[in-house]
Amino acid sequence: MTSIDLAERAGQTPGAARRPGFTEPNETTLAWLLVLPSLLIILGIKLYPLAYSLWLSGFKVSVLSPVARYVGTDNYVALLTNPNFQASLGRTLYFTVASLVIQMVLGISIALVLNTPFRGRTFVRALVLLPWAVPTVVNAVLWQWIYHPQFGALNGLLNLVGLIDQNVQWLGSPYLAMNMVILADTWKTLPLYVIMFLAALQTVPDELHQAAAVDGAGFWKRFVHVTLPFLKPTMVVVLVLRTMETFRVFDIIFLMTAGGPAGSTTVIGYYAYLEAFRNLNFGAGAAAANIIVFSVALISLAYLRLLRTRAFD
Amino acid sequence: MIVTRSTHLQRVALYAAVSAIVLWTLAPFYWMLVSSVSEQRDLFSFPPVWFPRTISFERFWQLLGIGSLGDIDEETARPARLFRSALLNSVIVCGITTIVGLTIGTTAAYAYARLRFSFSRYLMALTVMVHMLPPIATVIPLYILLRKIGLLNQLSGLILVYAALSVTYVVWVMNGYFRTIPRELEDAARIDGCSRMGALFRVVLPIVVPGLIATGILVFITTWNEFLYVLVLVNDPANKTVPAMIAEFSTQDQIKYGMIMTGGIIVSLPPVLLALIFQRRLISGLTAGAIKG
Amino acid sequence: MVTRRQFLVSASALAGSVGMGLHSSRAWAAPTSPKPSKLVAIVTSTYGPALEAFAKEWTKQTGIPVEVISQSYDTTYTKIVTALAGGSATDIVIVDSIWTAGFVQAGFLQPLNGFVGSATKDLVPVSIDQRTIDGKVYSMPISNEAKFFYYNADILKAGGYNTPPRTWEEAAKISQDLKDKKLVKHGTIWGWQQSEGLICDYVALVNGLGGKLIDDGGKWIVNQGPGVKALEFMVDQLKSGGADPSSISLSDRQVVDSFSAGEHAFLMSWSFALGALNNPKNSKVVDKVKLDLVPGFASAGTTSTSVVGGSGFGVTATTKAADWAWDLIQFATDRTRQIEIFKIRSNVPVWKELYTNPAVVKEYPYISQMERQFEYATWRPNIQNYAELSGVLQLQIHKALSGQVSPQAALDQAATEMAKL
Repeated sequence: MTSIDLAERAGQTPGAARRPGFTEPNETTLAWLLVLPSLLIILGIKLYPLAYSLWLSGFKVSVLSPVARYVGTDNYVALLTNPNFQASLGRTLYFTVASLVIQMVLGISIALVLNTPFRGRTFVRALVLLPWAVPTVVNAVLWQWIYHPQFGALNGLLNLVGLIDQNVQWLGSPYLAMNMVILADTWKTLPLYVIMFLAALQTVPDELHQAAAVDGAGFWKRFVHVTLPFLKPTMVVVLVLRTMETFRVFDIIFLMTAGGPAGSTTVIGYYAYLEAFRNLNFGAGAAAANIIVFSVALISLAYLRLLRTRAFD
Repeated sequence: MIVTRSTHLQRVALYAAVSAIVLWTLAPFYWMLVSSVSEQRDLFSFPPVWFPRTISFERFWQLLGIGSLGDIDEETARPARLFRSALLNSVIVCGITTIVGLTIGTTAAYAYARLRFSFSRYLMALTVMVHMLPPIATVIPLYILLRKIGLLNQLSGLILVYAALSVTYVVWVMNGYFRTIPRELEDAARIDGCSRMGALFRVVLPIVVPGLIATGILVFITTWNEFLYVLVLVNDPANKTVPAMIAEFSTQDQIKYGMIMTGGIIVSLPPVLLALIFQRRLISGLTAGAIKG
Repeated sequence: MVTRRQFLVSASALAGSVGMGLHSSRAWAAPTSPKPSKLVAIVTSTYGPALEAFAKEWTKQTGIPVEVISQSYDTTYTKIVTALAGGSATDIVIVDSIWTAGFVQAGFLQPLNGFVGSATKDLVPVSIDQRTIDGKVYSMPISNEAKFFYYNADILKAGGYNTPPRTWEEAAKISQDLKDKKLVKHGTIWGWQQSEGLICDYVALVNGLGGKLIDDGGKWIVNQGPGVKALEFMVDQLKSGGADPSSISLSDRQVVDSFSAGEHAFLMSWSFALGALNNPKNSKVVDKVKLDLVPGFASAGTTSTSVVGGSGFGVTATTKAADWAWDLIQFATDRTRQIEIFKIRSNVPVWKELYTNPAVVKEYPYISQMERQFEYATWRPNIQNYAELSGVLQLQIHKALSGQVSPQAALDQAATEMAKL
């Protein structure tokens, strides 16, 4: 949850300036001793399963027929040519893009508001963080209840103010459901954006704003030319972190809509889960999961490239 | 005159915006609370009963097992018992995971930040990359592997999996903290005769304690909220953690929203309180790296 | 769906037996084969507590300890499959009716004909038939479950109706009339969320229209005749407002809560709804709701329809103590214990005799109607990869319900996809 640059700089062996006399003879041994437990865990719980998953995706393997049959890339071909899987990829992209755009815009706006001095600002800033700590599972059932077609608070509220006269099927309409899930997700994840952007706003020197104001620049102009450049690096970092989360979205879908209505919220994370744990086709499930990994890796690489070329100019 | 009016308008707009933000943040919490203390019959009313006519904390006492449970039916008592065992499971799993993750992760992070050894650059990068791996990528193979070694459905299996989640994260973040500490401090300690480990424990660790706390809390919150692994790897109701139990609540024949909301509040309380108390530390932890770029 | 529900039987309630003149002590001889050191049973958490309580009594009699592993419904299927495929020592497993074919195909279960013997004729036929493949019985039913017709008698009376509708056509007319009289916004509420409960209703409606999902040759025929008509009926209901539009996002469990608000005239639901709708803590329709036969279709000349579900106990093929496993099953599904299950959760018994037993009928006036309902019930296909096929059908039906495609197009697509699996 911190920056990418840590990873980049990670390898640089520090200590060029260290005095030679202090190099202990067992520095390497000590280092290996210190990192070994973490490497063992990574190897056993992450890398081995990952390799196993790659292997698995090359087989037709189901718990019902325990004999695994090698099928090469068939599982991938079958998935990528399956219209249902393609549709779920599309939905995942929609979820990702829509979430990021909405949350980015709202996140920056809220950060701007909370960066302006007003009475009770510290309190409001603390308050805004809270939804972030709510477990996704709770967030999902809470919003499912708010969206309840018959007794839901949202229908009640809109009725009260006279915006609707008939209850809306928030999670019952294929055109609405995904957007409602995004809204629920936004409630929980927005604080992360706000925190990040608030911190980034601290880096904008006041003098620049004052100078721009003296030049007669309006709010919008000042935002675009003065503030935004300072937010860009944070935007990229948030983009990377959040894309990885939205692309693999599962919990909230599982609980709020179970992929419905009419499959309209079946994202690839949920698709992979169904393939493996409902249909019990572990091979195909692993293939679907691997496609998520490849996609996330590709997108992250693209962002990193963006970060290198654009963000630091 | 014009200037004053415009600043006045700005003030109004600002407070309107702040109110909207506060409402948006608090309204769902309010509804969760109202739903947990309202009578069941009021919950199934439309238009909704916005202000409960009677307030009862009965559901809280039921779920937490406080006071007399004598007159509640088995139908309510059993999920309530399971909920309490899930709370205990969550505390055990998250507690152990946090401690193990911090210990193993911090030592490794220190080595990557300070010690010179071959491949360190690649291993650190690998650790961070592994941290990015979506859980769905490993959940299917882990299900098969844990089954083979008999750790499916066991808290220990879950702890093992969570340890991997937390270690990679701790290495990544703590590595950043160690790098912020001037090397001279350590060198000075070692001139005074400290060994490398001695310097780590006596000089470096005390400085990074705030970082350790922030990281530990983030690990705790993340594990407390984790759902996919526990959903797949633990099926025995007695060994589930709270998120899985909330999910289980919501798939019973009658979805008892009052109970789910009560469970939701109880489950959210530890992470929300931690976030509130350690707000500043968490924020600096969350934003530390991002801003430097 | 019904089998998911947490069937929670209190041990205390079990201890105080109802004593309706039913033999509760064992009326059969104990096996003579050597006793195993223990028995292992995997069940859903729906039946876990009940089995645990029964097994405790049984252990007292036989001295054989029983390990009951209970799982939430959603994960039990996988758990059983992986346990048995992995060769773990398990003697008894719970078998939801839709799992039967999959388990049999994998060779997990042994036929129980030798054990059940002539007792099958004492069971409600549909309950044992859905567990029988090629004349072999693979599980002993624990409870009967079917869709019943619930109606809000107060609303009907206010509209001038003293009897419930006998056909769905009539139900539609009454709904419209009640709407015109502003007594309801929508006549019926259904649990048509994209999940298994949707298939249950669909199967029942297809049956009511005189059709099936699979023909005798094993071919999917959902896209022909009654299969299409049933879906058209569902879509019409939503379009005309006869059915509450909320139906599309409610599960078959949530819908019971919705009906309990007292705003609808009709509901087709499982037996547990009877208890839930009459629970004064949750329901606003206590004593207003009545149970009757599910309507038939005038167009098809049918009297009624329903779909069954419910779980059974199966004996694994690998058990070393089949005699004793059966002895426990027999003990747990004994008539007295069946009454306990019914009493606590309005779960309907499997023994025919209980439906006419005067003591039972006196206490549960609806039980004879419930028995009649079974005569008109069908069951969901007994096929190996049921869950996956059902998933395909759910998706397509839901696409039609939400108006994205026509019923015919949806079912054509479903038939094509299912034929491939």
